[in-house]
Amino acid sequence: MNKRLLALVLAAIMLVFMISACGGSQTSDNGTDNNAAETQPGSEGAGNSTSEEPVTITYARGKDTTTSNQKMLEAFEKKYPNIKINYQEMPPQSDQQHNAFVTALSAGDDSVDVYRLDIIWPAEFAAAGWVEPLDDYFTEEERAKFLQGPIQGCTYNGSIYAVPLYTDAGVLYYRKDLVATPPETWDELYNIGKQLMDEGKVDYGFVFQANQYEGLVCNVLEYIHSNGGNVLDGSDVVLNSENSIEALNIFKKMLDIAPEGVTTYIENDGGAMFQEGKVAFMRNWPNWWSNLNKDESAVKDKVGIAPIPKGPKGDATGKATLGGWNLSINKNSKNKDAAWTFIEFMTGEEGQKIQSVEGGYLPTRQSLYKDPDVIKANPHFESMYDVLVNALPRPVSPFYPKISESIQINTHKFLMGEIDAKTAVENMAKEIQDTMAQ
Amino acid sequence: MRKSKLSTIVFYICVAIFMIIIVFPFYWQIITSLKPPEQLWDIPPGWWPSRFYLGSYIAAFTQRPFLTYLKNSAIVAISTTAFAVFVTSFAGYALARLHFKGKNAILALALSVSMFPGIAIVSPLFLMMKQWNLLNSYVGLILTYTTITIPLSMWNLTTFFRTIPADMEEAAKVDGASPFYTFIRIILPLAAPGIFTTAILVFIAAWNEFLFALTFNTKDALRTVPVGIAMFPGEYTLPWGDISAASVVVVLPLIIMVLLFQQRIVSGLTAGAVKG
Amino acid sequence: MRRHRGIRSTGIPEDVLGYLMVAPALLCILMIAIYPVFRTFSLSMTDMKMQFPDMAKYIGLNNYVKLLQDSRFWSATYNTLFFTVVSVAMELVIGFAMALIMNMPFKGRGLVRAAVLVPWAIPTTVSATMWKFMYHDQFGVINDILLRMGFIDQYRSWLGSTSSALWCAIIADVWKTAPFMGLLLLAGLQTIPGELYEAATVDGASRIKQFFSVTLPLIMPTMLVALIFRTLDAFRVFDLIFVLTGGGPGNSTETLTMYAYTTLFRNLDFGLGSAIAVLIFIFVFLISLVYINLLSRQND
Repeated sequence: MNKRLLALVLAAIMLVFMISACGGSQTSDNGTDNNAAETQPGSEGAGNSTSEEPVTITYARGKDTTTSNQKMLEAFEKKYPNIKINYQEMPPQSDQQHNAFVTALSAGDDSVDVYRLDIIWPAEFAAAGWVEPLDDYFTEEERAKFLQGPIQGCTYNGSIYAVPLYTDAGVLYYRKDLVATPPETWDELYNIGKQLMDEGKVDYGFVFQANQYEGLVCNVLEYIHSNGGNVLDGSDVVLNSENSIEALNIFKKMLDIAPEGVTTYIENDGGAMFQEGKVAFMRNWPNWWSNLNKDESAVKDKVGIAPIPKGPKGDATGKATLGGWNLSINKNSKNKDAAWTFIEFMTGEEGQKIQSVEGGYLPTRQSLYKDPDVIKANPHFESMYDVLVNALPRPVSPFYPKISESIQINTHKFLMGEIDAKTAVENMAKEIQDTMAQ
Repeated sequence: MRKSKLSTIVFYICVAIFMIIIVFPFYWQIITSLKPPEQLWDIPPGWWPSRFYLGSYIAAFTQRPFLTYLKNSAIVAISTTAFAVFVTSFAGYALARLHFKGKNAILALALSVSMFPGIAIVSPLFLMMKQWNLLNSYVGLILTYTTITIPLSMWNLTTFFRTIPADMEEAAKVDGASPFYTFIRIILPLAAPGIFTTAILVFIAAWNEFLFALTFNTKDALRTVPVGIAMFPGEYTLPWGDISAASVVVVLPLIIMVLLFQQRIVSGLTAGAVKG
Repeated sequence: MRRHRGIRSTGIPEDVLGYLMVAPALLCILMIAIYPVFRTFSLSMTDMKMQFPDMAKYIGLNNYVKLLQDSRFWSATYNTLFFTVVSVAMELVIGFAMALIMNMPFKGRGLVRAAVLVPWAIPTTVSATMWKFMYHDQFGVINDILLRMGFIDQYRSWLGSTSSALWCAIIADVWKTAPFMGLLLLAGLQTIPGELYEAATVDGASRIKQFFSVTLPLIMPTMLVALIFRTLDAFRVFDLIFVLTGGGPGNSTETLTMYAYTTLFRNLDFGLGSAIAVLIFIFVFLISLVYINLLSRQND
């Protein structure tokens, strides 16, 4: 055998190996893409968007734990047989979807046409030029039919970049069997909670979300907004005020009647405790309603839902923090018209009605709060309308993650007793100012 | 050595305490995974399931993409192992046996790379993978994992090849066999135990890696097990039962592997440390 | 070893074959490890943001200046150092104890040796999740145990207090890695010839004296190598903190890697994040230098 040849062949094999591994990503990449596509068939969208020919648009959103998304897609495809929807499921957490979308969009990806955005992202995505401005599609007249908080959250620099799909806002859950009328102010809440604890009727007065994460921002902003404070006024940072400082102190006082570990709690920790009947009040999102009324819940039929309380310097009502999700079009999408048709349907009365009836999601269209079918499926929605009208979005900024981080860290340090309220507010105001100046 | 009865007892108590501390978290995980939903939120927590409930296991596989995570981890870890061991058995043999300049430099380079913190290369690697279209793919992770396990693997194999007596090679050489032939036919079979040990270590490293998996593969369909477990909690529910069930499933194969290959793993781990 | 170099019957010079065989591994290292380090360094001199990758411009050492004045950076450095020093020290002591135990003949030794490997082999995210459950203030078993044993009179929030959260992370880390340390040290112990102890016994040295005069000096090199690995590992701690506390409460458990990760992938600030990464790299480099120095002094 020619050994020289053998050695050459070996060298050649190694070279090929190296090239295919380190350099030639294209060839090997296709293999994996096919693999990934197994779970999402037909991810290659149809190229042209002429309306006669069928097109496929790809819709990416986080996992839906209800059946409503599926039903909405079916209804859409039935109504528009020429448009096929390729549904791409994303990880459940907002943070993780953000990572996934940023990864794709910053690489100029055009495989997804419609993205579902958390209410805190439109400004960031708009400033980066990742999503299409929708001013021409989404008229002022149409926008007026929506709840104004979500619309505000989708607007950046005077243009609108997403259409609100469903909304969310902090609410106060209370034990109807223990509390006759829900408290209107934080002081009342504190006193009732404390009294119930002292009487031994509950282990704790109040649970909320005070872990160092995004939910903490939602919670602390409710205290600030409900006490006449605010973070931004236009592009001015107005956080540093007596009202904000007072609001923070009220927030901290609530730790007295909360479980020891509340500063590590996210939605579900407190939810589990409230569901066990150990707590009198809970600040949480409306979708906990169905969990609390399940058969295995210790508080089934004993739960009331009320607006967030207000502080001494607040307006007539408390101000909930807005959550919610919105549909936007990828700037690189090749099927923008079809994508809009899809968004229009999903966020229209027909789509949102399915969403609320089947999934219990809060509509963004005002008219649906008077819709008998929606109310029949979700009796608590009626009282939610006032909460939602008064709810405020978190600061709208392309650098929202940094703003949020500053609020999280300083608020948490304050709750931990590391800094006082004044310092916390000053730090936040300064850091947000620096971020906005970028 | 003389030992009084008392000191023997004290000794065994010490051993027992160590064992309890090591085993307890696993015990807790297992009973949590078997608790029925209504018992999960008991205060104080129950030390034994009130009834055995397999729902969490079913949920981990049916309602959550846990099977996908397992598949992804298996693909990535096995490919990494194959690739890293393949590449480094050549390198290890050359470094142990062949004569060429710069061998020490190469070994030193590998050693220093093994000390690199992952975070120091993650940002440019992310951009490179993005450019090469390798984000959300297996290849991107395999390539990265292969690279970060090469130093360990190369050192281990080099050390191992050096322990193989040179006589057999010399004999082959006298017969006129080429170094390459000698390597394939004589050295590799002898080195099989060392290669196997190295493969186990590489596999465990690749199976457990978190930072790159977290940042490169952001789609659920391409997540690996460690990321999947860390991301298990959903938006509104805290599925303790499901996470525990999933962790038990992940941990089991590793435990079996460790129990079976305990001696090899230890020898692989300590080879470098003891010899300096 | 004597070997003559030069042309062999294959026709390929031995050194060429050597380079060919090393090439794939070396290429991977150069492309995926060495080159990125330099690119991290160059990224750290820009203000690159992922939202606006094309608008990145060179800003010299500005990111570093910003970091050196940033109290968050220094507290992350402090947390990282505290975590590293305390957990490695605890691992060393406990690992040593385990090694001494495992070095004695007793029934079930094989089982113990296998069992101690298990924590090391499982993914950190899994062990962190396990510990997170156990630390929970209401549903966690640790409060239950401590209350039953009378160490506390009411449930505490271990992860929710700035004074205990970092310790929680340390304990979880020690649990996972002390056994590993124990096994490395055990291997070192087994290389010590038994005659040395016999000689020392004849000289009338007590067990404790034997430990300091025989065991410790002879195990020193092994110990230093094990310490290098563990120190560098502990210094780049990420998975554990990510799962256990996410950096809270009040940022009291934020480590350098955690800070870099958040800056890079949550705030999408690649310039600043890369600068933190470079500083971590420099810290790691300095730590390695110290150890290598100690080790070479040992060998002299």
